[in-house]
Amino acid sequence: MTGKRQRVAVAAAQDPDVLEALSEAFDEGIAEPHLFGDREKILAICSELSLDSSRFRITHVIDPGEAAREAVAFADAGKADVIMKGFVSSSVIMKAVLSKEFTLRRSDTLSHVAVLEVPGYHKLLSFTDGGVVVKPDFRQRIDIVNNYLCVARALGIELPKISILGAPISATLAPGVLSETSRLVTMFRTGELKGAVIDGPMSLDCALSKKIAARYGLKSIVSGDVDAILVNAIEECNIVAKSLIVLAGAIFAGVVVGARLPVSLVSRTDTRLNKKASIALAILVAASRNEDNSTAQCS
Amino acid sequence: MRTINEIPSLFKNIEKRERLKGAVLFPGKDTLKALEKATALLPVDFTVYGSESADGAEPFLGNSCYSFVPAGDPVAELSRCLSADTTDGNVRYDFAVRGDLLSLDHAYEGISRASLPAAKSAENALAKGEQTPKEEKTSRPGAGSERRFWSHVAVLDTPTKGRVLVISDGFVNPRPDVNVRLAIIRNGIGVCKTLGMSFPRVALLAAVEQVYPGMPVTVESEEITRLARKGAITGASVEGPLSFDVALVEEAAREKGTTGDVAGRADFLVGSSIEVISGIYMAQTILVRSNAASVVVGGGVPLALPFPSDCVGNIFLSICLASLLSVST
Repeated sequence: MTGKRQRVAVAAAQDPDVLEALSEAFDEGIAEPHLFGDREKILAICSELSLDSSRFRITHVIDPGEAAREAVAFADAGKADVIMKGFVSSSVIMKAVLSKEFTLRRSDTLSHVAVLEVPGYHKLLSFTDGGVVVKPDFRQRIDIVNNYLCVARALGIELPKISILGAPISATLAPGVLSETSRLVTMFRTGELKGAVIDGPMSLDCALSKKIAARYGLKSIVSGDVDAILVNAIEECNIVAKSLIVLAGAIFAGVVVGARLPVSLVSRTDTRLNKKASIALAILVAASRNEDNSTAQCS
Repeated sequence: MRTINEIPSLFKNIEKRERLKGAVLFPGKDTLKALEKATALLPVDFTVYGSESADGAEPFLGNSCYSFVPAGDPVAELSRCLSADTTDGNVRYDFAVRGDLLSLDHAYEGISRASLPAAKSAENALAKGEQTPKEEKTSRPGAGSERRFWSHVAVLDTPTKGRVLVISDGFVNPRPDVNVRLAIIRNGIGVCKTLGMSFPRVALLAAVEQVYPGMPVTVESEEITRLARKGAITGASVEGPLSFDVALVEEAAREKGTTGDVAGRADFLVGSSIEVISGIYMAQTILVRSNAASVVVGGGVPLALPFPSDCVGNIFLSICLASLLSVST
């Protein structure tokens, strides 16, 4: 990562957890926050939490929807590297990002990547897409993989191993999904698509453990060492990832990729630690994008 | 129930009766280790079905813990044990156990075959030129015409929550529609009650709490909630769509403004696909090493169905749960 701070445009910044996380990111020298929101409320939160408000530049916008639009316009004009959601719903900010009014939309598909640090697993484990695309078609699944590769690059993972989530029995996949999955696997195997090693469909146990995969008679290069799980439906991805966060104490960072800039959409229900991790991840993705801007592959 | 390890002790509450009969299909080393423990702790006599030539078969012979029956076709043996088919003088078992040498694909096929009505099974047997079963033994009053409904139910320890969690369906019904999910809920409530949950809180899992026409799972969940309130489900409160954190974490439910009896306190999570529930189960048992039990219930006798990823301890707990369900239903 470059030493340069990444400029963060925050939509409706009047949110205590968000301000605290941004303040910390500022102190760590990674973020230069520009807040769009209700100045009175922002200053009140800062004084309540004893945060130094002088580290924030603030554009006063009372209406959260309007603040989202202005933050996005600001980023669209090249004045920010990351767009971040504050006290406004995800759909409002996503609509602004996707709006034809701006030029932020670059690939056809925006997708969410959840990066988890799971106790009991030897590396970071990402899940995608549990946040944006409900039921991706073939084209969208390729985009989702490429979007993940941007995050992987930001995390310093050179050739990530990806498994496509399946069921523990072979009889259950719809034939269409099965043929699309094997087509995707083949495209990476033959080199038509590059940058990852992909295999599947396989059940989660086979992805997580080589020893267990052997019990199914399965041999795969990704087995037991996956960096990411590619999931075919939004709820499957969202629920399995959240089960690790809620029940296994996994630390989570999430980011939306596929637009010209990474978008950080922390949820109100995320813990403070997870919010901080999400901001840091978006900043990392932005920094990595600026570094290899010449390749122009990543959002 | 606080932890699944309490299951063996629940047998004490059951009035003294004859010892149970358990059929174990194609066990390997891990299943046999679990059986040894089960034989010592449960009032069960096991009969082991297997192939004498298979790996790990040596301990079958000469072990007094169980009797051994050489068996051929795993699918046929499993479906016969599950449907409690007593034609041809077959023994009626109280429950069955998937041994670790019986593949999940074969188990799935055996369960599917056992879900055919008895009359249909007889027809199939006839079509294959097998011996004609005696009429009176195949037709029970009130049964036989409807398809038997099986579903997979798993129970997980959640150390962070300090109680057990019931989840379904991670095996038998890959993509349940509204009616199948209602049947899954009914089967699961039976398991909840056996575990001492008198009025279980059932959450229908989705990615979000709102209903969006573009997300069919949320629309179906709302429909199921509506039907449950109208009386399709009794003895439990059912709510959905709920996201995983809102279903289980009270602060998350409060933060999202989700009210109701279930949000933040769910006992039983119902998923929309096999990937969701098997994914939760595998994530917890492999990464957290949670204690867990996995069974298939509803159609005939209960089946302990540990996954290939399960350790000896969880195979044992699955056997405990299947045997407990056989006496409490």
